[in-house]
Amino acid sequence: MERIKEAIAKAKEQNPDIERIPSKSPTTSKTATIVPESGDIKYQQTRVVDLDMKHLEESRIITLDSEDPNSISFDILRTQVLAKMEANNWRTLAITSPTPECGKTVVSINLALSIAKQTDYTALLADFDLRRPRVGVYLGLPDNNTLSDYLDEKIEFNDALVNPGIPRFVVLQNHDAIRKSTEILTSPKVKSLVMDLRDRYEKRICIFDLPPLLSTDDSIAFIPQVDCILLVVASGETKKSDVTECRRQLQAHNLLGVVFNKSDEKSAGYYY
Amino acid sequence: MSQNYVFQEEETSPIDFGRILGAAKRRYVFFLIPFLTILVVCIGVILFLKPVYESTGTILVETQQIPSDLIQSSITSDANQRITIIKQRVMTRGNLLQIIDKFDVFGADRQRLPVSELIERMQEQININVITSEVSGNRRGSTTIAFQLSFDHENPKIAANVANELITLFLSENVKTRTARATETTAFLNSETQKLRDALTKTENDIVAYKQKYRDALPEHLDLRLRMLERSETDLREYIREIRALEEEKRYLQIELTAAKTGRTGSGGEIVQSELQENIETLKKELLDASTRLTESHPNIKALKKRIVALEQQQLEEDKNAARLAASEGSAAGSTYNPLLEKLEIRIESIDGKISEGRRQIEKAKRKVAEIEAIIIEIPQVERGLSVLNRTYGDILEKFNVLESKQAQAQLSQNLEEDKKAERFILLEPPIVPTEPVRPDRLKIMGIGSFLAFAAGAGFVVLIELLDQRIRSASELEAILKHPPIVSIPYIVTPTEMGKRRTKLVLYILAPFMFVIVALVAVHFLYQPLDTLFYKAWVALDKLRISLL
Repeated sequence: MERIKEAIAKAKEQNPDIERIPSKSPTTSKTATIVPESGDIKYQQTRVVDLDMKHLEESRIITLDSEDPNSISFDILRTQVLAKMEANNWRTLAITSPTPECGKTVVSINLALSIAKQTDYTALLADFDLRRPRVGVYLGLPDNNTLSDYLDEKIEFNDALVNPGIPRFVVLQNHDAIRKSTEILTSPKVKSLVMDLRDRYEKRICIFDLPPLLSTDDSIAFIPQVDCILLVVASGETKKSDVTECRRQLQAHNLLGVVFNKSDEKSAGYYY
Repeated sequence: MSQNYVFQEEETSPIDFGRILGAAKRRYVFFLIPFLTILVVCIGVILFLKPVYESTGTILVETQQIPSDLIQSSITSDANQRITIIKQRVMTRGNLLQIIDKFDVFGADRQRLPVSELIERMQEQININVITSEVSGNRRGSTTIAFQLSFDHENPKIAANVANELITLFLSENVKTRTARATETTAFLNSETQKLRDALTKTENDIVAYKQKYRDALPEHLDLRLRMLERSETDLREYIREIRALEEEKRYLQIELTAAKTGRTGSGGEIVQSELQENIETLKKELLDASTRLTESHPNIKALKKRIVALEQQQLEEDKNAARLAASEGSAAGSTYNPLLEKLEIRIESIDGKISEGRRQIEKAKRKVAEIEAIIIEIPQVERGLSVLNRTYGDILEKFNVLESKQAQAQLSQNLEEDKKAERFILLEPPIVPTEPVRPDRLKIMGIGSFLAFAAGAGFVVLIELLDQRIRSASELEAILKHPPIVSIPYIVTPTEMGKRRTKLVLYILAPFMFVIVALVAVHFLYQPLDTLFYKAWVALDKLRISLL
């Protein structure tokens, strides 16, 4: 918490013209520039939005609070994911699940936050679940300047990015459901966007929150554009046959691993 | 460390307690639905079932009071069998219908249902439970010492009344049958005895008639007859000898008569002749003796022969003389009255009469002998016939005696029954109005129902768990993926959820208290005010304390 406050304070110091506005109506600054190489990050081009800790907790976003005992499993996930990605020089990671309600978005946000907070990587979280975008809602971000606005060419790409007040963490959010999502996801514009995001910075991990694998063909259509995939399986939600089916569909791609979410078993790590 | 290792081994065992616990936690609703449904149905059944009361009377089967060594009852069938027979006799259609009508057993159903169904129901409601005691050493044998008769009914009063009626019927039926049987036995034996008595009289009459018929030839008179025969034979012989003597005398008299006719006194000539004759005979004897010892030429024999010839010559001469004399005498007598002659003739005449009389007697005696002989010959035959008759008589008499003793026994047994000294049914415990229903056994139904409910709930949960293909644990996922998931993220509980859980927990804890309070309030307003109850409890406690002190 302290660190967030510090970060926010710093941001305020550096951008004195930003008015302090209560959480749900965050302030925006259009003149932020990202300077990733330096230790202190200053967003000149990206909007900075403050996060409400209570809202995060209600949305199960816990990695910001290192005291939370559950955050340790995300730390393990982060370490493992980063290790594999580094080894293969992968930059983009798609997170999907067989069915809805498996906790993709929660895992995505937590993983991204964990990466941003504890490593020197920059984490970019893009909400590519165009049919049911949830990232913005979970983080409590304002619903203007979204990905769909950019795709509709209403705004510039940089205007679509949001920094929720945490260093090295950028969100490409979406609020409204987009029809013809598959076509959009396979469109050259998105392809070039993905390439751009991937290649813009050396030390950046791009996390794409995708729709469920078995519900639509969005994920299957989009997956070839990413380096690797993380599959989220929820305890008491996912059927065994679904897992097998997903494995079959993902055969040709790099399945980084499977996350077992919502486990009601007591983890060994709990005791440490 | 070793402990940790053991723990891990336990986890891989087929019975995964963690999984069972997890399933129980998840599926309690699936458990509760069938559980509560069945429980409610069970309670409904208990409430719905009408209570059935059972009134039971115990009847003791008392054995014969007088030792059976002294008097054997004529009813020897097993008590159990008798109870069954009596049951059949009591539970007839007529009896049962009468009871149904008398006590209004079936109420409105009486008019609605067919009679046969009513009877069937009635028979189902009557229970007879025979109490037996095992006789040691006899594997099959067990004596019936008592039996219980009970009647089930929804109304305890009717149950008791009907049970009483049935027991009365049972007891009276038992006495009736026993007495009837004893009387029957006696009557049968009486008639049999009468038959034999008639036969006996008839045989006796036959014997008398037979004896009458053959009264002369009765075997017991054989000696008499033999003696009679002997006497008759003796008489016969006597007569014959007498006749011979009379004939001798007659010849002598005739000779004398002849002599008298010739005029010679028969006495002189007779003596001479007899002397000569005697001499001749003596000489003949001597000759015979001598001829045995001596030869013909012996001088003694020659001398004897000469003397015999001489004497025979002399006799011949004398005979001639006598004949001449007699002829002269006769002519003389014929011409003149001769009293001697007359006397002789009269004597001869009387002797002739005697002889003819004797002959008649002989004839008579002979006839008699023949008669007696015929009778004696007949006697064995009569004896045979008589013995046949006697044997028949003896047989009948023997049978009659046996039967008569049996009849006496039967009579005794009948008296035993009539005086109720034989085996009898005693009402040990009369049926009373029951206070507690026997059915439904609420506790039992509840127990079975609870068990069923629990089993159904558990079964349902197991079924659901088996049908549910969703992944529940990391190990399951690992089995599918062939390698473990990167990480296992526990379910993240949000503060709101935490709050909800706390509220739930508090509610669970508070619920019993709330229930108690509601119950107390209900008792206060619906049953009795609490202060009264409290006072009652206080008094009861006080009493208890006093009694303990």
